[in-house]
Amino acid sequence: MKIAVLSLMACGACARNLEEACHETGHEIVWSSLDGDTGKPDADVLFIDGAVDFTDHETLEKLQETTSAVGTVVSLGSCAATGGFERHVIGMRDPDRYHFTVFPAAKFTDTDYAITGCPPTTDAIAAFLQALDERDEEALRPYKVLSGDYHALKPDLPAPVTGPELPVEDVLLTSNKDLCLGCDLDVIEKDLFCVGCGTCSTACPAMAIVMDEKPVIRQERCIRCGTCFASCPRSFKTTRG
Amino acid sequence: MRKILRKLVGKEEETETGTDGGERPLDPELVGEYRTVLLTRATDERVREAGQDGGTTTALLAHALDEGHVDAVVAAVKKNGWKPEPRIITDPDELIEAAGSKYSISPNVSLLNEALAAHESVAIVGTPCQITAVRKAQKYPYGLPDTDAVALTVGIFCTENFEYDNLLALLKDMNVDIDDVERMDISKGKFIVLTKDGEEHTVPVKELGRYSNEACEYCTDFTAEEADVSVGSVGAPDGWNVLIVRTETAEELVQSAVENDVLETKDPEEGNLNLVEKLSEDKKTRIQASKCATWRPYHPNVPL
Repeated sequence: MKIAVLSLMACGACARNLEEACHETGHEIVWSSLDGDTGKPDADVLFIDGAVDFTDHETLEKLQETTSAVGTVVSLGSCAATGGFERHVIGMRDPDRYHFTVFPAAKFTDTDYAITGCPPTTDAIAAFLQALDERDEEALRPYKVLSGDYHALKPDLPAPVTGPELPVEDVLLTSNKDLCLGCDLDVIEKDLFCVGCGTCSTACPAMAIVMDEKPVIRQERCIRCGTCFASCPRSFKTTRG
Repeated sequence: MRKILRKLVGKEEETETGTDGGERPLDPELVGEYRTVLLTRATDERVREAGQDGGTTTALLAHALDEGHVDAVVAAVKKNGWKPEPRIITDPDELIEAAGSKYSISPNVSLLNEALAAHESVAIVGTPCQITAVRKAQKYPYGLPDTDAVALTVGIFCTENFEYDNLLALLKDMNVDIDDVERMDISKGKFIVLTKDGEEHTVPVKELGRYSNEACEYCTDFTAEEADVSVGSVGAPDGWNVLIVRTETAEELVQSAVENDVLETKDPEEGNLNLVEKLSEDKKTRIQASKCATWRPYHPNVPL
């Protein structure tokens, strides 16, 4: 696949991991704003990396122009998908003035898929690229739902819980992303779903979760990336095998 | 389901529908896909002594370390007062500390990142839910790199687990002090506690529900269906284990363990494998009676 990268308000770690994943899986990056490319990219997939300040018209125009030229748009990493630490500053610090005008890139443009993580691991991006390349709809489902407007989805209310994992649509409906960007602390922290396996703790890039049978979140370290929620074996259903 | 159908259509039909050359000892719809089922125990008496039943898990993992099949094992060791704690073990002799069941939550997966960073290939022992977590991380490695280096997953049969405080409450209700406990076991439908003075205290498994971890109520996996190899005591004669081998790599490892006289085996006919199927089926149906079955997703646009 021909790949384009648009890097906005970002630290660059996601784009770097994407470059690594592309190198490993044999996909070619044909257009990258980090290499000074401008205009409309001629690519199959566009990865957007980072958040956007909505007072910055130049960036918004650039975002519109780039996304309109490419068929498949993916938010890469938590800043692009949910806002990540760009919105909720690390350490529960009072936000700077500019934080009130910063939103995830996915708020300003239609995205088809989102990859959670801060940054998403090279393996995670490679797994996504493989699923996309093979058009594996079932494997792509979580990325698709994570990118969507979950508020517009309606849960299947009469359906009882019939298994240890819930369908990805139903679980995402439990998370209030406006309060907690992409992660659902009820699922992670409360007893209802937690089996105490420790996956959230081992997946957390900020080492913000310690295990005392159940996870204990150290809010001072949390960067609101949602990796814990996405990694939790109980957060959404995955296909077996 | 297939099992119920079989009962309905009678035994003649059963042999006819068994397409792949004869009856399989366990129904894959209840216990997951597998290659072989064996009854095994550790040849080393010291391991059997330390282990819960046949010491198969400990012996198999020690063999995997010895043979260089894996460089490290993530397992739960017992701390003071029966509180388990996950640990990365590289010395086969140290594995003996991790032998035996602990009836409390040990977040084994929480050490996986550390283990993968330090070692080329890693084995992990865990409850069915922990094995599911590892499989999910392999498919969606959001925050965990190098999950391909998980060379072996050993799943332990599990009906439910207890938070440590609830285990203490359960023992208190049985009039047992945790420091006096010599051994805990779930066997033949009973939770059995053996104290240091040689006394045996029992509670029927059915009464354990209110002490167990809430999330266990809607788990449907008894035999760790996604593991490379699953181990348990249900259905095995005393002092033996049921071993469900599910993948080719696990099969090779088990074979080499048997050839090297680390594990002894017995014909599965000598056990009661129907029990494994029964408990698997129980776990798949009990979710319908759990309070989780009435849980509904929260949605901002739909009133509660």
